[in-house]
Amino acid sequence: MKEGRSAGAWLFFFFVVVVLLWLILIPLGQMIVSSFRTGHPVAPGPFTLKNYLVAYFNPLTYRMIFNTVLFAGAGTAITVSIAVLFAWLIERTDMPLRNLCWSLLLIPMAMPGLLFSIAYVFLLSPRSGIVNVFLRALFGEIGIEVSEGPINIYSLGGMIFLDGIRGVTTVFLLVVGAFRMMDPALEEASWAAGARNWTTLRRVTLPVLWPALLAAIIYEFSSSMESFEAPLVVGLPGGVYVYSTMIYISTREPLPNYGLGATFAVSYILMAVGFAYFYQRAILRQSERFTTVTGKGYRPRIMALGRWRYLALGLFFGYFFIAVALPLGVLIWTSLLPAYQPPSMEALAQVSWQNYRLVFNEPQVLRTAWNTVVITLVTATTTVALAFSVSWLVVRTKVRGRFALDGLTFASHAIPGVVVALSFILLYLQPPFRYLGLYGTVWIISLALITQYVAFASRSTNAAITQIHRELEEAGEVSGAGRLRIIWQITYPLIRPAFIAAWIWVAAHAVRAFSIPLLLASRENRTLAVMLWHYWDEEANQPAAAALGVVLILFLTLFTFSGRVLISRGFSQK
Amino acid sequence: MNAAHRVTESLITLLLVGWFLPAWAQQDKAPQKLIEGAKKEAKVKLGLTMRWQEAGKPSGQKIVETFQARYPFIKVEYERVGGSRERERVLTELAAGKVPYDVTVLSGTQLDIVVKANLAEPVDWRSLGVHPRHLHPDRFGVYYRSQLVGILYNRKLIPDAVGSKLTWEDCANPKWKKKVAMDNRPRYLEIFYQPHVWGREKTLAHARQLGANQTIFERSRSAAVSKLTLGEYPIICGANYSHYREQIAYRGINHIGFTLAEPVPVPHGDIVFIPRGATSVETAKLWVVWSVAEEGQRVLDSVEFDGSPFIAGTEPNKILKGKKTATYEPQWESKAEDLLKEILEAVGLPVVQ
Repeated sequence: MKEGRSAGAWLFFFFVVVVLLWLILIPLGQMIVSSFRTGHPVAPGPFTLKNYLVAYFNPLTYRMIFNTVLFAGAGTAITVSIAVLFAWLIERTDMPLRNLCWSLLLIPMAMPGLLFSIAYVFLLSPRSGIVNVFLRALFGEIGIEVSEGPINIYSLGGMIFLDGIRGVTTVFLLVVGAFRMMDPALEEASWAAGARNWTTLRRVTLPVLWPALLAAIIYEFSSSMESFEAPLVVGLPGGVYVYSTMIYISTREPLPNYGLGATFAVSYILMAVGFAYFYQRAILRQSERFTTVTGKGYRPRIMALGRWRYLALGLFFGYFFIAVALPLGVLIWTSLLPAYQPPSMEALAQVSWQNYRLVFNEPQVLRTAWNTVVITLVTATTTVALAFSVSWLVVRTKVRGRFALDGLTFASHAIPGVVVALSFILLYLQPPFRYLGLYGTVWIISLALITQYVAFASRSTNAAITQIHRELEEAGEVSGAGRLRIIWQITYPLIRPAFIAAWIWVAAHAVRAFSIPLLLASRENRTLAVMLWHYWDEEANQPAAAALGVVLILFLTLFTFSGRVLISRGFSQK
Repeated sequence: MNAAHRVTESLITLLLVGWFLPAWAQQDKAPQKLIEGAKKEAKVKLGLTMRWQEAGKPSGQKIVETFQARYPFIKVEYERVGGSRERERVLTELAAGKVPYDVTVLSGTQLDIVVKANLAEPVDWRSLGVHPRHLHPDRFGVYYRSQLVGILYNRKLIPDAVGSKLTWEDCANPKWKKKVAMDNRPRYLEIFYQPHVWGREKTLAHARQLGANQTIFERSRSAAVSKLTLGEYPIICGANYSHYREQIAYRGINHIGFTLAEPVPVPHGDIVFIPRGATSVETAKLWVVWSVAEEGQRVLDSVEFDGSPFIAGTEPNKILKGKKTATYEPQWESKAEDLLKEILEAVGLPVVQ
């Protein structure tokens, strides 16, 4: 097509390439260069291999890599097991209240990982955690006296538990469609051959769904690899280091060493890129090798659980209690006290709204709320616009190099948040980018978040544009409409639902983003999540952190509800 | 340490007290030139370590109000710059060309970087009446808050009869395995490393034993104190005396005890300085000169309990009487980063340069 190779398309292509290079490759390049330098970015030292020697001749590094892999692997195993079980129970069995369970499973998304981890510190701290206090009292009743524990959240096991519980909703959403849309013919054949439910599940259902499960496993493993909140809140006090916290403490602890942090980040990216590659392959294999959703009209058979129905429901509510009710309850409890303490009559007498008054009267909280709103709106809008531009170039033009552009966009998916933040620090603290004056503003946080989210948004917009046949746009051209008018009046209205869905996905992640805003935080650009951490970490004011956390959860619940309304309106206008 | 050494140290302390008093008295009146400059600027932005309020009671606020009572023509904006992560934030902001405060605080290592990068305002503090005892060696910064370091314990978990007799050696005693917490920058060990205190061998052996005992290293001193009061662990080695006093005075927590184990480490406190590009340089100088002089230190002592030990009547002055102290010698302070690196390696903490 001629118009696909026009000067305008080339110029636009060039512009988008420059933006992506600026966002992705230049910061990474700067980070690699910095990994070969000592000193502070403010006053860099000479080029050297010292950072690599320090990093890779230190046994602690290998311990850290081992911790990271074990943390991600075990966390993924827990997450996927629970999510797949619930997907199966909700979609393929006669468990009671399945619709309610489906909706309840979305609620954990309104609780940021930071708050979840903080809540479990209140619950499972070895001596003062509410659950431990309760368990010790219980043990005391049967004559077993213990002075602390029995559970210690400040451990690798604690981190795995937090990560394993946190990711369930996402993995559930990734696999539930496959359970719902699966062709029942294979299962029916199994039952016809005399196999029981369990055998059919084990030998037919799960193998057929394996590609979808594999994609979910790799996705979850990658997410756990870059998980930051649990390793920060419970890992660091317990002396358990993983990649993300190692990079963080390289830049924010006594004796910061940005070069060493960059050195860790380089190997971290290599691992992450490897998993992104396997993830991409798993997705392709899923779409090519196992066609389980066909054009036939069918409804998968619902398995009768018999007397196990209520046990299954009990299992679900057990999870909900651990994932939502318990942490939310302890946050509310702590937010009403002058200082955290386990429930007692004495503590009940101290309950007040004092922490909420403190939070609402603190000018910094208002400022951080405003920053959060600005960052969320700018990030979501710009990310989706950029993703739309990339998709339009890739799908609708014949510009040479467009697939490389697509690859570059998707590559950002492999860069963990702490690495994006570190690369931005290193880039924007040194000339020539220092002169842009972006460091310390909300814009640098938005740029970093755009870098992290553009891959997801571009997958969504690629799919949406591909579905729209060119003939609609050609009809516009025949009618004499210009390129911009065609995009605005024909293409955009058709892809609006996907656009809104991608916008809400990015906004929902940006509003609770933590690692990037924390590493790039300054006096002027703090977000609510960073303010919450500030109360928790610097001020050691746990009740104020809990109060702000409760407010944040209410805000996120409202946001999630509004988002769902917006998405449904977007689709209804289609 | 033998008795002769102890007597010598006590004499030196007495001499210092005697030497300082007249100097403090002279500093009450800031140079007129500074006051005139401050009148023109009429405002100053401070980013310092004190909290504005502690549990609803004025803390940094009281210091600022006392300053404003003396210089009513100055409007003060105050923000807290807390621990090492906040200081690193200030450093990177300065590097990015932003000047968040007219007076702010950094560690010695960070101030070196700032000075190298030409981001600090050079000031002849001595000529402004700041006593040499308060001058940071590079002359850009001024030591502001003193620190007394000791052993904090939870009286519900350790009786006073045991807690009050804890020694520095006890911190690494296997008897207290997994029960001792400390800051992840254990400053008292940097001071003990010096040959005239413990020396390298004893300090590193102590550090290795801390690692073997699975000592809990906290990233925030405030968080550590908070956990100790909750009973998460019974002992913090290297706690600040001021943190102990704040818990009692502001939060009504009385189930904690503090032992001034000897030698009592007295590390230099915060280093305040004026960033290059500050908008109210003269007022910033006036603040610094006032805050390290007697009035500033007395009000600091009344709210934060860490006024100068060289001013009669301050809490550090009272409790240090008759105690053997240990401070940084200048030649060792300049190597603080190297000492810390060795200590952290011995303990087994990661990320060292």
